[in-house]
Amino acid sequence: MAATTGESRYRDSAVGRVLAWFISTLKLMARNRVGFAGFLVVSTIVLVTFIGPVFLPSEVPVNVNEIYETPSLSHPLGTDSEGKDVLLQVINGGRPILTIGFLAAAISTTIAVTLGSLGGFVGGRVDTGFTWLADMVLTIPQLPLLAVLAGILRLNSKIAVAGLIGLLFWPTLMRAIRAQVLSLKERDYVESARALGLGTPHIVFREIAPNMAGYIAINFTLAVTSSMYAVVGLTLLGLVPLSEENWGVMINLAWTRGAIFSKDSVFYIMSPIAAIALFQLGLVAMNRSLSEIFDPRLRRGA
Amino acid sequence: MSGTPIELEHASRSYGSGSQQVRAVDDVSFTIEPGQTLCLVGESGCGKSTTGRMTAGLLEPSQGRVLYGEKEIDALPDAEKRRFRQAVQIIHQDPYASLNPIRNVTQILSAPLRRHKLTKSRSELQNRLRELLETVGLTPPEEFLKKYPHQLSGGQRQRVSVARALTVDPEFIVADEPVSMVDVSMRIGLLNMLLGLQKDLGVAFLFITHDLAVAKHFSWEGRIGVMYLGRMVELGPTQKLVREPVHPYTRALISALPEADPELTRNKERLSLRSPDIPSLLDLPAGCPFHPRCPMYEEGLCDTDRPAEDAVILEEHLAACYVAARELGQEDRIPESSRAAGAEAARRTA
Amino acid sequence: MEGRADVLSVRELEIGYETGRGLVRAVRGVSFDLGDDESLAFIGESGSGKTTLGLSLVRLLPQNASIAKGEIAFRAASEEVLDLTTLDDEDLRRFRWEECAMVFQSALNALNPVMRIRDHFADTAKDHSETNGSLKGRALTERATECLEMVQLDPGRVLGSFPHELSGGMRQRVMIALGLLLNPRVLILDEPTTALDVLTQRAIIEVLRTLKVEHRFAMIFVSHDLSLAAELADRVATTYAGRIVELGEVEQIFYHPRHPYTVGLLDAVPTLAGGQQELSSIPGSPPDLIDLPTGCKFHPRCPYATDKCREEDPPLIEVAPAQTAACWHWEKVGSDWEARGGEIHERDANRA
Repeated sequence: MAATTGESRYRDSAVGRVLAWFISTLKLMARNRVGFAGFLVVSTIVLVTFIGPVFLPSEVPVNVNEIYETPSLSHPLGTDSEGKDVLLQVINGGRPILTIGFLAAAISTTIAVTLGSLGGFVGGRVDTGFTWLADMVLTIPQLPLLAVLAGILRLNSKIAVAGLIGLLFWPTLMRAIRAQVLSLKERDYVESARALGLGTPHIVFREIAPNMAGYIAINFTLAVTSSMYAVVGLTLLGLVPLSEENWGVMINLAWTRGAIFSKDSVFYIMSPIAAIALFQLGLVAMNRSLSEIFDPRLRRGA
Repeated sequence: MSGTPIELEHASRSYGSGSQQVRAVDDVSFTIEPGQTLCLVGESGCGKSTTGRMTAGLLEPSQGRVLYGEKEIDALPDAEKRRFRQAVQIIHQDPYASLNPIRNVTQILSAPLRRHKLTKSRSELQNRLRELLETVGLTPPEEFLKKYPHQLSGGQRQRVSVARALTVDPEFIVADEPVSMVDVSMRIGLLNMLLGLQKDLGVAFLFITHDLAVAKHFSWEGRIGVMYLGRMVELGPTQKLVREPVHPYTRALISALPEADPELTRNKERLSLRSPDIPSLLDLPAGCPFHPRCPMYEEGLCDTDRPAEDAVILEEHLAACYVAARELGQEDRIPESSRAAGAEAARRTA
Repeated sequence: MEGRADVLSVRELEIGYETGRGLVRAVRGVSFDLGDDESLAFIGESGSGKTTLGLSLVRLLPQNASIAKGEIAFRAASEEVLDLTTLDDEDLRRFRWEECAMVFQSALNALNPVMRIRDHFADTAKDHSETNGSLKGRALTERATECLEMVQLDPGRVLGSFPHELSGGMRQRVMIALGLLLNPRVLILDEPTTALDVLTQRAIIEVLRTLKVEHRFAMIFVSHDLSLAAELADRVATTYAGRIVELGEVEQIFYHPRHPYTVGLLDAVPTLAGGQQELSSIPGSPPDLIDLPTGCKFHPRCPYATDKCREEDPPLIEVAPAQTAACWHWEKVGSDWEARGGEIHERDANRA
């Protein structure tokens, strides 16, 4: 190894490298104002919903004297039909929805990238098979199927719900990834990799897939969005028997208890909806910055 | 250095289907012995790149065969196929597309070394990377190891491409226009570096270029093959082909080439073509594909049969032209039908 | 040179591009004159500023570029002298086709694919109808025919064709013919033969030679290709890092260069004629125009570089009648070159 100066030792240590990477990522994010704003919104919501409940009572106290209160200093978002504080419920109720959303998106994106990359690159029967499978899943009306399956399968854990959503939501992205691979595999560097005998897994996952990283990341956030809608929808319909508080349950309760017909409960019913909308908006805005993070040309001196 | 010859035997390659079918390469044959150089020269669309990719085993011929040591590459047993895959490498034209933009020089070069277990330890790998970069003239190597393609100039990127090809100790490199997109002041350095590989490592080259002057410089001791509309029209030792070209197309190319010397280029003898337009591959003329443009065209003789690529044989030097064959006293190499049609046309005009 | 009226005089031109990384100094202190039937070639590599210079002469610079300093004086057909750096949009538009036409490197894609060639001519004429009111109907067809014949195309076939029905070389010639339509005095050609095949290149060169010799157009070529300059130029300017580093008659530049960069370029280009040549590249790569070296911009790649070169940028000085070079060591460069003369003459003898 070359002589280690102070700076290079700093850069050679793993912590230093991660730190440097993190700082340069933030700088790239900041290149696009809308994207950076989105990033701030998303990270704030994630932090508040994941860390907030640690400092809050796990059960929001019931207070029958304060039913359907309008916002005040002690209850910034008012109270619900049992006099529970809405803000506390919103903070407590984000984690399950977000967890399932991210988990389901991770599952569907992984399936889509794997099948799309392999099918596009290998071609032939493998490709035909994967495309056929994707078309099959696509033609099934997804929400009704989800509803039916959720009814039959008794989805008790978050992982099961996320898995079910993930297994149904991959085909659109898979087809897009396949199209990208078809174009990327004609690149000269892919031909060189073939000539060097680097093997299909290396070519697909080391040469081709990383070039789609920005694209995949953007689609991952979109998958989070649609997965969250799906969970909330299922919960609202009462098909996912989740006992803990979450945004979906809040809407469900608001609905079943007739809150939607009461003028006083507007804050109660709108709060979880606003939280969902804000998070989704943040994700979509953050997309604008994602393609820049994955472009090595912008990462100077990396 | 022992090596294995590579041979193209009546290789053709078609694209499309039905009436839209195009023969990008039509019945091309040649052999490249270990350590030798063959330059393929021709204009865009003449099939030289397709020929190069077939020779490198990256494209299968639609007809004909590619032989590696007298065995067809598709029929090679697995072990030998792997050996072929490493023995033959390719360098592309576009320095901006031939390197993966998200991988740095170390990653690019160490992937093949790791994959084929060519280096045993981390330190051996580091040493090999340095050695490779020095071989291709990227010195000091430390300066380049961490660089990404976008941080390098066109010439430097091409050198990284060459280093990548050298990781597997190839016997044979197909270089497809490796200097045409590199700045003028850096081209010769790249060519001389490649020539050095041939001298020091005994690498054989199939060098593809549109520039005869570059071909002459690179292949002075080797051969040049001139392609036109998918066919090899002339193939011979460089020095002979450049000084005494036989095929009228080669002569037209030589006379048309502008040279970087005002007096020479302004007083050059010009061969004027009968038509400036190149025919479409979809609608090839009958007989010799060059006849509608050829200044030596003779009715009947030139538009009846397609001249075989060895219509003229001057030792190692071949040309596909019947007029030249007749003038060089090789009339017996012209098929009867063309000879008769030529005589018939001459009688009519007389 | 005497008695030749200059149609274009450029003085101390400076052009910069504002980019995210900083100011790109694309043209730095360029001065030259163009005689009214002269052809001048700017030779240089990528990043030498030659294309920016060409664009500035018709004021077609991109949005983020600006002329920081200098003047471009154009003597119009009416003998009126226009300063191109201050011309307003209306005058500029008239100037662009009627006085000075530019043919771009990307000419192959510059024709509208859904318009016949005839309509391209009509469009150009219509844009300038207030000054060329007469050019329509039969007069237009006649003028278009004349222009197409000047570039050796068959008007009968070409006028009715769509661009995709023509080959690359033919489209390039159509672009030149369009440039000639309003009878400009100066033609600016940016890489007119790059990316064309040898036989097509030859056809374009012959067309340009006819325009120069028979029709006496003044021309400026911008190219990386030395052989294009050798074919067509009366004078040659070698450009490096946004400056002219050597300027002289074509024979002076090719046979008696005095700047080490010109020498380096000549040594780097193989010729087809003659035997095997000793050729060598210029070491290193062209500089970053945002972060230029100190002193002479060529010093990091120059075999003659001394401390003086690292500190002071040499001015363009006269090294022979009509020849200027910007090098502190031009005398040494020249005597070394001439000392190699024997070898070069031998090379010439081989070619004979």
